[in-house]
Amino acid sequence: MDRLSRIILYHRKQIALASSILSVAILAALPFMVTKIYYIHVLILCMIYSCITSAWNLIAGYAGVFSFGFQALFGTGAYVSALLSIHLGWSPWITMWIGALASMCIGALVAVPSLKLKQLPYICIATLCMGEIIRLIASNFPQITRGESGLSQIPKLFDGNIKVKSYYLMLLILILTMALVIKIVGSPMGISLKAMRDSQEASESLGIDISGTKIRIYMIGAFIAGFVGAFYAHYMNILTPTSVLGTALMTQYVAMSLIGGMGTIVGPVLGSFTITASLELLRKLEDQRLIIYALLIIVTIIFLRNGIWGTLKDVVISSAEKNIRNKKQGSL
Amino acid sequence: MIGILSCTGCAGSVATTGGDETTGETRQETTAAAAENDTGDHVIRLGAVLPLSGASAESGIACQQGLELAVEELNKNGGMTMNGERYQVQLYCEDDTGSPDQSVSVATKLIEMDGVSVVFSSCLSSCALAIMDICDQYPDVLFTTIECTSDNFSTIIAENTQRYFNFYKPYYNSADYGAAFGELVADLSGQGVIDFSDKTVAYIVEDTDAGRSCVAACEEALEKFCGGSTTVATEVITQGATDFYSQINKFKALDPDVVMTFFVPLNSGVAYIKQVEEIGADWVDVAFVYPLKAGFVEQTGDACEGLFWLPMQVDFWNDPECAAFADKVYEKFPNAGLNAMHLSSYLGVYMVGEAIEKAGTVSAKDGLAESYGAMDYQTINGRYVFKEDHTAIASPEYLVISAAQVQDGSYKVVWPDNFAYAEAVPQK
Repeated sequence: MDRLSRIILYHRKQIALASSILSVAILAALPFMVTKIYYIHVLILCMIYSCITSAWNLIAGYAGVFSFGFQALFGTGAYVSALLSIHLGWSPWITMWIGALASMCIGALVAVPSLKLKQLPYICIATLCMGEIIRLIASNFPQITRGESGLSQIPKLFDGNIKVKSYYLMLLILILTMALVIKIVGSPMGISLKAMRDSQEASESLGIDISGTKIRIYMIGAFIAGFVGAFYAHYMNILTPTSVLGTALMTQYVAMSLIGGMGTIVGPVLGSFTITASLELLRKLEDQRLIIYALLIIVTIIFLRNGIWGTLKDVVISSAEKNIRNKKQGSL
Repeated sequence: MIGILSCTGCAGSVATTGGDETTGETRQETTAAAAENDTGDHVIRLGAVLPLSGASAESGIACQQGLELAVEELNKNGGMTMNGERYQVQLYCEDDTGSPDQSVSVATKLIEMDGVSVVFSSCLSSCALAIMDICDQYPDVLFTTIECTSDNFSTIIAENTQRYFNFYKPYYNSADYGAAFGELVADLSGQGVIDFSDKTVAYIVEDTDAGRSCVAACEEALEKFCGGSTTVATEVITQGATDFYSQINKFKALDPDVVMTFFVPLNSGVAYIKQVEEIGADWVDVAFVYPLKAGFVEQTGDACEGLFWLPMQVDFWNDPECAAFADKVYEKFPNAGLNAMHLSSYLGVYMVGEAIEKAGTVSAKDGLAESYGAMDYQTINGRYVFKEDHTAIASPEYLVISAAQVQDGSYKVVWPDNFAYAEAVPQK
């Protein structure tokens, strides 16, 4: 027990690395263990949400910027990529990148005016409005987007065994996203983000460029969301404004981050997998599943305020510290 | 570490738990096993992707009830027949909330997890179109819709019939709706029942494939049957909207001869009719779909008097066979919001049953799709025959689109002449 406590406290990075490798290995092996395509589809959705919530968590959990229009960046990437591939006949492998860049540009357009605001409520309202504007544009230009009727017949990324190939592509995107998140969090930029989150005035007094840092991290998050949105478009092959630009999506991102643990690297991933898989597993309960889903969120938020991962981490680390402390006191 | 492993644990739990599925089954084995259940009884599995929640829940629930009624009836009478043997029918209904991307997920789940051989692919055109995109991935499954009207089905299937060999739409297209509207307006105006002298039309439609395509079809039909028309306004509203004051006041200023409204949810139609009466209007209202929903006349009262509407596809009030069907629905579902979708979905099950009996298989690629497409199914509301684009023929000999008018609080078929049993009267 004592040895385990020491390992947990003093070798966290090695444990994290080993766990990451193990997690990736398990995820990579899953398609060989699972023959039901439906399960692979659910796992793809889990990974999609993991990427988006990780990107949002960078902005909200680490920088403290609560953007409530983040779904617009996901949807922008989806629509831009889909429309370019449908109307211009370009390969989805190219249009995905253009979609991500388009989201980044939209992110910059949103971020530059709104992130200069210091008060959180104003940022929330500004980003929420921006999100709705983009959704209404998509809804009201049916000649281009087909509105709520749905943009279908979107070119696929793969031929043949689409689900398994899409799974591995999404796994690669998830790995790259998490690597980027880890890199940012551990970099001087990550330290700046946390400082800004804790106190904007104090960090400004230390010379941190608040607006510039917020805008940069917002654009990085926008790129990730846009790229994943583009993947979603070519994977699902159907888009509607409500399904990729609706505010219900934003609620889902927030719920996933909160339940998993905001301000942590693993939390959004854990929250995404938990909620997405739960919703599908609860389908057998028909009408009751949404009530249970809501109860799950409420209970988690009340009793696990740091989210599942945040609470788990706190419990494990504090137990290890307590164990070491007791051991030291015992030896004294 | 625990947290990261929990992530993969979640993934693993999704991968390895669930129902009574065994690992190692391929899709073909599941299909072959679809006709056998654990007890050794023969079972044919039907799936339905329906909007059981959201703005279109009324339609989705009606479809579900119609399907359940048909399945219960069939099973009481021994089930479906295939190769001389009787098979019990098992129905799996799933909610797609009216969202096309959910429809795809749900359809995949029904096929992969529940092993259904037939998928009733929604009563919403946008959702059915989304499901159509995956039908080539499951060539042994038959996909059929319930009352979807979008013209896009015809266009897409006609471009690649081979790819969509297992997808059918047993209903009219928006073009047929439009043609009926155009002819109706032309005939009523010719009879002097309505004033179409300025040939101005306004539209309020819901933001769905069916709604939007209906506008285009109506404009084209008016061009053909009335020598043209001027669209003074086209208002597109979200499905389920109930506030039409802005639109009605705008139309009052524009003064169209005819206003066409297309809503699937009953509450939208009721709200519109009552608000028109409240504000007062000089135009002629022609409604699509919503007046056929149970409770329309009761909720609108005198406000709907004189309203023309299409399509009167089921005459629950004057046709004895349709009325008998209505009694069957109310017997099983006393609080049902009776509408044509009950009948369409009910008939859908029987049509599938007949196709399975003739084909001798539940596999679409092995003959079920061909058998279904070759059907000539005579029933209480018409004759279902498919065209080459896998949609049903709409004409007086097959599925007729008749128009009714609300007269003295009840519906009277007033058009076309060979189906009408009442005279059209001017709207007040």
